Amino acid sequence: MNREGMTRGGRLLILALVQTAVLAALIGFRQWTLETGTPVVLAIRPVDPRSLFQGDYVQLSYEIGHLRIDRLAGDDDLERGETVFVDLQPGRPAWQATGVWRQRPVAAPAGAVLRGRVDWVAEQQCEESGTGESTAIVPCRIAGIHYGIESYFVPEGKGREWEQPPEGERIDIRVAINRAGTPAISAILVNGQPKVEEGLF
Amino acid sequence: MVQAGTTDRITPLLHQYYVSRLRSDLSRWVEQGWVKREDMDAILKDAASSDRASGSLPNLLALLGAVLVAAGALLFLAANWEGMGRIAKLAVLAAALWGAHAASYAAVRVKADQFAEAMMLLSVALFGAGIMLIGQIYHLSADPPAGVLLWALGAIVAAWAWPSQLAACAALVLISLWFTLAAPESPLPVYLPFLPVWAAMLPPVLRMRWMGAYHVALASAAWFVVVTLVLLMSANDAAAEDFLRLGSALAALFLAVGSLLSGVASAVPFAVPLERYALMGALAGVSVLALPSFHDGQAGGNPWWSGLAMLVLLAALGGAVIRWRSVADRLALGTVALVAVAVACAMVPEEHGWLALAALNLVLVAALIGLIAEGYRRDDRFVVNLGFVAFALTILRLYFDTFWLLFDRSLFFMVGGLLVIALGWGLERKRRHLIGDLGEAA
Repeated sequence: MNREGMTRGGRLLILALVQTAVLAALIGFRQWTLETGTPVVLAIRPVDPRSLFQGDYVQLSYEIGHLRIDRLAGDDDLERGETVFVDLQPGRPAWQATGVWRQRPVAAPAGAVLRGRVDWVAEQQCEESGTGESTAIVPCRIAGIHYGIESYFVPEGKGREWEQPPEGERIDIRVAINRAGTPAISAILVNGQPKVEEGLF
Repeated sequence: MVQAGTTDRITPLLHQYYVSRLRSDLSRWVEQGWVKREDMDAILKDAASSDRASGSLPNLLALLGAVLVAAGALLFLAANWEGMGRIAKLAVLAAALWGAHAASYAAVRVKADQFAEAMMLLSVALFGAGIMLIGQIYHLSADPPAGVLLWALGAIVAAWAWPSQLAACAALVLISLWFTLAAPESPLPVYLPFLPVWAAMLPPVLRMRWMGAYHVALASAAWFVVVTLVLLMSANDAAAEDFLRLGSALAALFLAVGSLLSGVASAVPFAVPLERYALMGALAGVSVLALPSFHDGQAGGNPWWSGLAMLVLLAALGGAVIRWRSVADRLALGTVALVAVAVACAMVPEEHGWLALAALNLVLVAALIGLIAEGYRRDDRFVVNLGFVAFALTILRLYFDTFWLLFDRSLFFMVGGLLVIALGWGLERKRRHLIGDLGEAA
């Protein structure tokens, strides 16, 4: 029994170490992404303030979360559930998507590649600018892409401050994208200036 | 032949009841002179000292305690969210996790194995809480299926390493949850990644003969089959009838597999639950297919799916015939025949749909009578009881189907009430008679 107890003790120690290591790795991987990833600024879409905050987390809706895939480079026959790679190029104030691919493309020197998952694909009618002030309604293909950075947890009650930003205030999200295309939120920007910056502790 | 009680496990609470009942029975038997008074104490001592009885209340309390501590840890963190720094939150989390492991070790050192199990379950719960809290604290990429999978892998490691049946049960539940979240979002028509993860939990379950975890594993596999069929059929615009026919055929196949396994002495404890789950699945599937309101008299369905169901049934038939020829076991063979009739109904032209439905109901009633007879022949109380319950429900359902529109409402309920009373009295009398015979035979 004593010998068995020692054996079980050893196994238990390894189990506790493995579980702790997994939890630490979650933090470490995210920190590695923040430290080494390409910083990218993403615009969030204006959303109904009544549904922007749910409890104590912010539901972020990115402009690159809805992509018109018939106008972007890459694959336009995407299906729900597929993993895709979105090519991003710097822009002002936020970066823009220039292509969507099933296979990871080589990022342009100044660009970054973000990995996401297709939530839905829809054939729609889109408004398109013509010459002068005229617009035309044309068929288009839109894909909803999920990047895993759509939730941002905030202290209870703090979300209200951002729910209805003052007139003229613009909120963007800065993320770091690692070599695998995985993003991590690194800052909340108000009019281009960091309001909240993420760190290790 | 499979003995009905082979795999029956007496739970601690049932064991307490058993000892109490034994004490009163023994007193009576001593008075009758059937048992010597000096033997009574020895019998009671042996029954009370059985492993199954050891610490039933402390075990239950330990389990409840584990759940309360896990809930308390989460509530503490939630309530002190703003007041605690990240380091403090992580420290509480790590201390709770390591504390649960230390408690497991201390418990096993004093031979409180059940308490150690409860602490192991607590550590699995805290590991999951850790994943969720770190995800929240550090705004990790939201991927619920991946988070649950990571949690499940932690539980699998715990179940293997300790080894712990409760951790195995938790792992199997988490694997099912991961599959439920991931499969609908996946482009894969059949979410095969489920199978290796699920199978990773089987070796300790089979080696340690954890019957509780085995039941959870079977339920998990059944869930995989049902969800996969629903997703496949919804993606292919198949009818619900197709789903039920293919599902019933698969249940018959699993029943045949269980029946074959019961021929291997070492596999009998695992074969019997498999047979029972599969039998219940097949009966449920055919019973729903036999409802007139379900398909409104139309055979319905796509012949392609019915053909696939027939192929599955052919494989089941092979196993059922082997079993029938070797030990005259008719359970699998009868079930295959019943499901085959249900599948064949799909091939009847629509204008004869009602005829096919009537035939299916007749075959179902005959099959249920045959099930009771086969249960009696196998000395299997479960099969006898299942047969009686299914038979009574089917007769009542047929009464509702047939006379609801024909009778005056008051007459319908009066006749129905009399039918229920007569069925209840007659069937219970017959059931007790058969079960009593089984008891005497045993």
